[in-house]
Amino acid sequence: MMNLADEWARLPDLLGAHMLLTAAALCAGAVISLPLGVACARSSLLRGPALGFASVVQTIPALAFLALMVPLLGRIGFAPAFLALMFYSMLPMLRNAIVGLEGVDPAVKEAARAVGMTPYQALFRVELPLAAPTILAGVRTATVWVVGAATLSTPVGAPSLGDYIFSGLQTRSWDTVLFGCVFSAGLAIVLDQLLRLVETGVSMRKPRRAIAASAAFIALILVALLPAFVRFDAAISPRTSGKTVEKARNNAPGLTDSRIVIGAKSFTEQYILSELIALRLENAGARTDVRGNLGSTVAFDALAQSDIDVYVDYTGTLWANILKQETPIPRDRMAVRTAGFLLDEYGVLQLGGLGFENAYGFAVTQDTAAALDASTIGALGLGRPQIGADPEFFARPEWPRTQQLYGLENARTRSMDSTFMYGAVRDGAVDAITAYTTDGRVAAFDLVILDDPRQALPPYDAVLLLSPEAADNPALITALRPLLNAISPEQMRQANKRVDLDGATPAEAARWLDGEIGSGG
Amino acid sequence: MPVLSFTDVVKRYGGQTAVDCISFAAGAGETLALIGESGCGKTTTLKMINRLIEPDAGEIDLFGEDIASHSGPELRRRIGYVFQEIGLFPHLSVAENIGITPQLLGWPAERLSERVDTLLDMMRLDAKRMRGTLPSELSGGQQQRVGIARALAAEPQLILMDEAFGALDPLTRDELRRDFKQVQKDLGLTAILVTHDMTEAVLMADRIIVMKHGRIVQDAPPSTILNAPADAYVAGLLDAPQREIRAFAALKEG
Repeated sequence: MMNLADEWARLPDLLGAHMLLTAAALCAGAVISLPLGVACARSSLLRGPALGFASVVQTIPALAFLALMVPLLGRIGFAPAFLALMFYSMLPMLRNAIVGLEGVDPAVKEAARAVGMTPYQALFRVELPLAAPTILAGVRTATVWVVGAATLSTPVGAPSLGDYIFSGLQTRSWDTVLFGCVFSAGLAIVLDQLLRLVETGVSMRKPRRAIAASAAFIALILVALLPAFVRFDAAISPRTSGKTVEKARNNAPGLTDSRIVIGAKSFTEQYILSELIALRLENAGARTDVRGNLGSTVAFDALAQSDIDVYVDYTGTLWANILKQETPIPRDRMAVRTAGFLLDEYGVLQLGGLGFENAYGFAVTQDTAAALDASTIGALGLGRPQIGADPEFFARPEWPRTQQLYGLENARTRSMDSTFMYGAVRDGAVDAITAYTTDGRVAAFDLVILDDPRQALPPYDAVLLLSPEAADNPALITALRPLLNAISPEQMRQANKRVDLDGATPAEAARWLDGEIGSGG
Repeated sequence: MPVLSFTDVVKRYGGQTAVDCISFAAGAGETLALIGESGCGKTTTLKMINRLIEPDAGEIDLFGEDIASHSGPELRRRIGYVFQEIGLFPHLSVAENIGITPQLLGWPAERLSERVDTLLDMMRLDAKRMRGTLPSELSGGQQQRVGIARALAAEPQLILMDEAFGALDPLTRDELRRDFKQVQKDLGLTAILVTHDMTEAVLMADRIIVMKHGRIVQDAPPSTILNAPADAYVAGLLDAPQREIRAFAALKEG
């Protein structure tokens, strides 16, 4: 059993953030759905479109729906996650409100009019109380859905219990994944059971039970939210009162002004590098936040918006995704071109390379390599190879180019999480994978990287990117500069291996790497 | 002055005329039965009295005032209404059901509570035992007694009954009819009842209005209807009760 101290330490923050997101989305969803349900129960004209919209939202996979909110709102973090989950919560609440209200006995509705109730009185004194059990059942369903779906807000930059699941998946720390699952499932079960008590209390007309369960429900939410509020307080107060302290220390002017937010995409190397950056900045006196598990373009968009301050990207990725170029150019020229473009178009500062390249390389086992005619990618094209890659690769321009240059048009493709592809090629599930050249598993699994004589795959120099705001912070730049050209490919590979194969946490690997850099330069 | 009067009242649904220019009046304490086959317009006529349905033309006066000068809810609090499906509020106790209209009118709690006891007594229900029970725990006959008590709660001078006894078994129905008749007499209530059952009309009403295709075919006391039906349609409605009345007479004698 692994030591879960790290996980426990993050729990108050993540549980609080998860609960805040869930509670906010559910409340907003209810505030929209319930009145809309009342309106729909009265007007069949409205019912079709409203239910149709909610149903369509429901059929979009939650992960995609959350991701779609990012370009829509032009930002990452709480807002897109909140909006997506709010829409996601609507269908069960809306549908049950309509069903509940339409299920009220017409004789009872007629009686409500006949005894002299106004439509408003009939709604609040008769129809809603009678529909309440059905409406509450809808709220319950929505709650369970939203608690679960909120774990998917991690890739759009909103912290949640999903942080355990996504980071655990990437660093192959199954205990961490399980930790996240247990808490998210436990939260769903507890909230569901409390709402069930409210529901039975209402339907069996035991107001005390309903009130007690409601109180417990609200209390639980408030307790979970406590860390979020405490942190909010702490984040606010030093800004007003901390000026003098800052001047007294004065070791890195500008660094202590606010929290530096460091982004990381969803793979091991990114976690390690983000922790390394955090370590360096904290040593320089800054307060930092690591926002992990960002999608590839989500990270860049967030940086361009100054939602995050700094992260590491790769020239080949920027070349294809941001500069929209299809044909690669030599390594040095590419770094210059990306730096100029990012500054001109986005105000993003490419501070420089870290000293290593993490390119894609077609990796095969020793046995496969021995059976091939040559040690080039082209040798794969003779058969009908099955190629495994992370989902991003097959969507990049270099894949069709590779197919064309090496005759791989007949290759079968299989997208999988990058964590799993090394094992897949080792175990023969696929013939070749597009390995990351700095991954520790290339050496550990004795894989062979095939040559790329026609330069189908672009260079992928790791570069430090700073947001437009961060680019104006000389103290920050000073603190980061020692990282430039400081990490060799071998050092990066070793650090990755520590996490992926030896069970170290990214933070531990970052500390190791920090020591290596220190001694080396 | 009549309690209620209809003057040239018309109601159309789409192209169909449900009520075709009818006029009649009901005096204080009088019981009027509206009778006819399904679709003759009797229920529409009844529901226009408390504005559950709005007429397209004509005037309906209550105590000499046009009912259109009152809002629907306000009007309905002054007129009792009992119908076949009863429609008790399942989430409210018997006492809360009975007291609903006085409560909407803002009666003080004490007066309301006394009124509920009086009504339960009047409807021959055990006040102590019944007050707190939910409608689902009552028999059909008890439920309709509560329904009538609810209609009478705010001391209306007019009560409307739409097939109020239709869903009850014959023995319960007979008993409740007699009890209601007594209460009505004691209170001097004007009652308008809708029925498809000529026996009920003959037994309960002072005057019977026979309707067909939205028009009034005959408006007369039961004896006249029985002895001199205006046409074959009215005579047809009588067939069933004639048989039943003979059967009742036979039962009474032996």
